[in-house]
Amino acid sequence: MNWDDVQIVFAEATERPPGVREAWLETRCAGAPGLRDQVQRLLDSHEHAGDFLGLEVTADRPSDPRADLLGLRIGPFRLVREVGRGGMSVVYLAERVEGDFRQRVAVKVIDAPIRREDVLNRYRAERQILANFAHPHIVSLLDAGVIPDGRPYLMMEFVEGQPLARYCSGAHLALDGRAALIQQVLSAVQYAHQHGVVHRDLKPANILVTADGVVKVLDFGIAKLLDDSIVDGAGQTHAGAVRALTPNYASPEQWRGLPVTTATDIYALGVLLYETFAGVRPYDAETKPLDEVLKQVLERDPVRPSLAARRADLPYPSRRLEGDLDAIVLKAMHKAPEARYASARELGDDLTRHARGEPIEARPPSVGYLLRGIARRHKPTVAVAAVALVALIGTLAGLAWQMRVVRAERDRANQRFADARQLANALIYKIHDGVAPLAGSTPVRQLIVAEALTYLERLSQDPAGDEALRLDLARGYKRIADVQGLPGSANLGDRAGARASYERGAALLRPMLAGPLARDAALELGRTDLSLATVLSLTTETAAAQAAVAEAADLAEKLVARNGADADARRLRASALFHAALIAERPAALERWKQAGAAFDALLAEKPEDPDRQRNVALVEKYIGSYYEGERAFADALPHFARALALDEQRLAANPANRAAQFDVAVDLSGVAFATHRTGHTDDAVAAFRRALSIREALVASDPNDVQARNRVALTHKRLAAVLLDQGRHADAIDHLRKAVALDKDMQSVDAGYRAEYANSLAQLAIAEGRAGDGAACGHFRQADAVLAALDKEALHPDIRKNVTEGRDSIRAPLATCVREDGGR
Amino acid sequence: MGDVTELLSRWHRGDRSAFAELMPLVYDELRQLADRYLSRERRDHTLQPTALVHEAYLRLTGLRSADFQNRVHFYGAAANAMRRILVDHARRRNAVKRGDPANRVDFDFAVEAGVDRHFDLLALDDALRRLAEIAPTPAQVVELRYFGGLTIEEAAEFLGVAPMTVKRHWTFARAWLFQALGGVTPPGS
Repeated sequence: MNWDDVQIVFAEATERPPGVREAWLETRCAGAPGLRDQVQRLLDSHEHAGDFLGLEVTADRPSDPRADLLGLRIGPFRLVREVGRGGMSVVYLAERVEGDFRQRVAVKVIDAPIRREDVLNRYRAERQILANFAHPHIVSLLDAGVIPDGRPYLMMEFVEGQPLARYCSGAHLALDGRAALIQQVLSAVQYAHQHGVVHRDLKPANILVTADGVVKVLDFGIAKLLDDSIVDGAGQTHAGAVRALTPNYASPEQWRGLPVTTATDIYALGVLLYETFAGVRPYDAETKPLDEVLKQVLERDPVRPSLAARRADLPYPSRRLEGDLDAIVLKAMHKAPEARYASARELGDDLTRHARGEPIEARPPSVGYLLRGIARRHKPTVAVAAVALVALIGTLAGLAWQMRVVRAERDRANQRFADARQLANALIYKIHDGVAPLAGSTPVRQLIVAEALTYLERLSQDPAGDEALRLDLARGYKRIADVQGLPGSANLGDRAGARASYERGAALLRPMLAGPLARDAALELGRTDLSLATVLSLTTETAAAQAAVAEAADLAEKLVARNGADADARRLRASALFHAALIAERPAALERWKQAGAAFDALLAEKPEDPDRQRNVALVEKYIGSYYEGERAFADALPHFARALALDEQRLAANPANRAAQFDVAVDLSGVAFATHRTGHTDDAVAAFRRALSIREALVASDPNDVQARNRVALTHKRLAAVLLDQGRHADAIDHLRKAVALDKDMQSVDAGYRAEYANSLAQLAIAEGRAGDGAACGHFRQADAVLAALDKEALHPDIRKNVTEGRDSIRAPLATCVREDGGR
Repeated sequence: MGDVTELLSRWHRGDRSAFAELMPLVYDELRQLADRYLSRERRDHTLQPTALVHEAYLRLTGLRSADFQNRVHFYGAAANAMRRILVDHARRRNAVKRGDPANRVDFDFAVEAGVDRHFDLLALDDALRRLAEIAPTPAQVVELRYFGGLTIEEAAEFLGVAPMTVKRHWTFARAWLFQALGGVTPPGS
């Protein structure tokens, strides 16, 4: 038994009404009797479990409408048999038991909570109006009240007939026969409207046709009667609440909870016409999820009846609906009440004109009509807001089906919001983090995060959006910025994009510093600032980087001052020190590095196995090593690189697939090797460089889009070549330098820094070639000079500027030699 | 006191190690509370596991901690602890009353969660274990709701899934357990 299947089928089955489950299950599990039997047993259990485990899912259960009321006395009448059943009512045939004459009436018991005294007062007034109705096609209301269990009842003329739709199809009624029935309905509606009564719930079930072909419209004004009387848990009456919604026939304004007018009945008549003429419904609300129906009713234009009729079994060809009838039906069903027929009579008149072959009032859909439709389709928020409004009203303690629908819709709206948010966060965190360590994932990561951000952006427009959501959004921006261009991890080298994303996140966070999520916002803002500073310090924006670091440091100090035990705040503080060191000038930088190192060391001491803490300390050690390296104090640099290497190796051993750890170990090896080389141990240096190189080449091979990884391979080639040159192994050195040049050449387009690297590689190759007596040297010197000359004209980061200047200086002499040699030729 | 709050925050921020640190604290507190209740062996005394969990939460985190996510995570953690405590207790009682099959340990003396149907806690525990083998999430949902007192929405937050999903799991688990506990004799078997 596959229990996943069982769960799925069971869940699907429980969404269907009990009456149809068995048949549905039979079809669903055709060919899988084992599955069907298991689900059937579970459904039996489900039905009989009662309050098993004590926590029922469906909280509000209506009083059982099936409760047997037969025999109940109401006034001089007794209920004798059930004759019909609707979504929220049961209709009984009642017979007079007092008096000498035989009288049959229909009693409709409504399944809704209504306040007794309200009913009595209100009904008395309303029913007077209704009771005074005297129209051959309107079923008259005789009495109204409540039965002993508190449910309201309506007593009316008993009509023996068939619902309109069934009558039409059963009698294979021709088109003009159907139109004649509709005309009777229209005359009834016209009469009621003239008396100020809107039906509100016109539908085929409320329109009976007697055996003689006489139409009787039921339940006039009853929906209103109920609406006005339904009470909530607090005993409050909510006038104007949306109650009687029959999904197939409810107008857009009813769904929206807007006031109901005669135009609402015109809409329902349009649907009725549609169904009567085309044999199918414009929106099949029974088989579609409610949100889909809503979308259709509110946003989409129905399929033309003539087109829809093709799939119906009708005694006339569907093309007879083309033109006039299509236009009449669609005009009646127009989404805007004011665009519909002004009255039932006008609608009837157009039908009459059509029957006579005269021009009708209704126009086929115009371009403007279609355009409006498009505009409507692009305003889903309007619909959602409307649904939310309906849902709000729907929080009444009502138990009728209609109310459950509304509630389900509200749940679904909240649900959708929560789902979207959850999905977006899952994308940003779970999925992104899941693929991040995987090779070749950099563009995919960007796509994932960008996709998630669009969700979050959309959600943040929602009034339901809150501070927590803003925090999510800001975190999302930081994530995407990291992927775009945060060095130190695989990134796309898009520094401008990264900067914009960081700044967007920071702008969201700053107003939250005084809000309920102040701590989280401060932490996130600090982190964002520091990443931004990292990116900025790679460009020429030193001042902006300093400002960002200063803000982060300030936030961190405040957080630590507020709660010294706040580990996150302490981490942020250490990071801020780290970044301050990063952007500090020599020689002040060394002291900064030592401060940052102390802060990270303190954190590591608390959790020596924590990979992040290991990495941070290693990082600082590397920077201290590089500092000494820059001072050409290689013997001082070596122990720092060695400690970094030891820590990163520990990290890598704990998770050998971790790209970042591989990357770091390679950096450490390179640092150790360089310092070893400069302290005179060239063989050890070559071995360390080779190991670094193999790690880095593997990193590039597994993710060719990782720009930084390629750059590091080139760098390692150059450093290794320098050792080899010192060892006099010119050919080996040139071999590595050529590889460096080839790699750097591909990366020129990334930014000025990479172009400077390229020039540097060319120059180094030329130098090695010069030493080896290789004639290619001059050509490479010139190429290097050309690249540097072009760079010299750009706006450059001071460090790069320095490199360019030094580079040009260093190749001036050999270039001059080359020129002389050329000149001598 | 404060460190439970801190552990909870760390946990719902994704720090899995916090869960491991949290569990013993929650378990100890709950067990002490439960022992105190269960030792009063008066039959009219009812113990509500959810009330117990709530009490433990307040004791461990203090009243000031009203953070929804913290509470949900705590209750979620407590659900499993509560289940183990009650099952252990039932087992001990069973051992005491061994040999008297008429005196099976009904759950009603110990747990009253709006249930008027008496059933065997050990049987429920066993059924839950079997359910967890074929459908782990539905089983967990029952644990969270029944022993932890989480609502559908809270369980959804805890599990990081949609409330609709929790509802679905709950409905399934409930039907399955009802059947497993002999509520309905499977036709033809």
